Amino acid sequence: MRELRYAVMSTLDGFFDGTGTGLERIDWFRADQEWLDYSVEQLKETGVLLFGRRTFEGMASYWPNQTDAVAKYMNGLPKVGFSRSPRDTTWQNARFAADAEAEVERLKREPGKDLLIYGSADLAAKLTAARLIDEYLIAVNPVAIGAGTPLFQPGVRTNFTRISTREFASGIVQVTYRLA
Amino acid sequence: MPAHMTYALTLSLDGYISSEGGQINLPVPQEALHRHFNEQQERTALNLYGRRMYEIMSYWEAGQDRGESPAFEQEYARAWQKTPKVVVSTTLAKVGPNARLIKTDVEQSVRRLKAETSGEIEVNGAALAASLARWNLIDEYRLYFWPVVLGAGKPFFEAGSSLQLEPLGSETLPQGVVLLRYRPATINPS
Repeated sequence: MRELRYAVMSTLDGFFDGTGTGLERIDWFRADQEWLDYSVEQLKETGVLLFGRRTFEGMASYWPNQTDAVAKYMNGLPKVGFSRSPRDTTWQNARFAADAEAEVERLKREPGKDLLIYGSADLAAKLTAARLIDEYLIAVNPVAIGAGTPLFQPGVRTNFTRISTREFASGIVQVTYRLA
Repeated sequence: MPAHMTYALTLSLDGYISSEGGQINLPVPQEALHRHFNEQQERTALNLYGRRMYEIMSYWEAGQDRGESPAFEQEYARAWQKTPKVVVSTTLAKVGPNARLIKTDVEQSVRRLKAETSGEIEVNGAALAASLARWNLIDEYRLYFWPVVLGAGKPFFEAGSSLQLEPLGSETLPQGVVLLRYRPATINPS
């Protein structure tokens, strides 16, 4: 059975997306060379990338025009975006599916490298409720932004077990959790 | 040397320090983690509290009957009792032993307190800490993240405040707690 990892950047005050438009919303990311190298290593171990609709559209408008090492994987890997209404995409190796829980359960049973979600807090909340996420990789950036979209949706209590932590020179501390 | 002023707090992974009603729904420290907090309390030269945190922490006051408490809790109580305390409140009329009140002119009073104290001042209380951060008085943030998402509650920092920070290090502690330490950034990284 393949594992599903959820990798997300977070502010210290628990937001995964800020305010403003376009890349302004994530101008607090400390994505230095060490982080990009780490991302490439992580993508090398990934079989399929999964996104919620909003994150998918942000990625689909950005990566096809990029040519760096990360872009090679972002464009080259198979990708599934989740949207309740049918949608098309021109991003290579990408498609949409409607039923996230059923699609993830099916993908997990297929052979191959592990599954990875980037960003996509709403999708992650839905898959957390179904207990389909095996590892949460939360990259805490050394910044509080005061307003934005919370990483965890209000209203649900969830208990975790800490697996490991890793410090990056940029000030990011990535903590890995599993559901308790 | 002015004191080193640290805002220390335990919080959920989604950044809440308590429920909206003020109850603390976070897990309770067991012995190994408690000993970490005991050592921290031993190192503290002065505790600076907001009103609500002081009322919660007064649980550790002398005279409370904890004859049956385990040794590590009794140790914490002794360390807490002997640490001088300053409480910022406009509504409290009096405070307990080894504590005094700041009622007015908070910024100047805390500046003076920091200048005249040597060692570490630990600040507890989100509203108080937000004011101190605005006045650039906080030297270090110690955030103890419990491995739990609460889904609702009182945020560790008041809504709308933003902060650029530099990391001072992290520690993994018992019960899945991760301690992240920061200081205010001196230069804008972007």
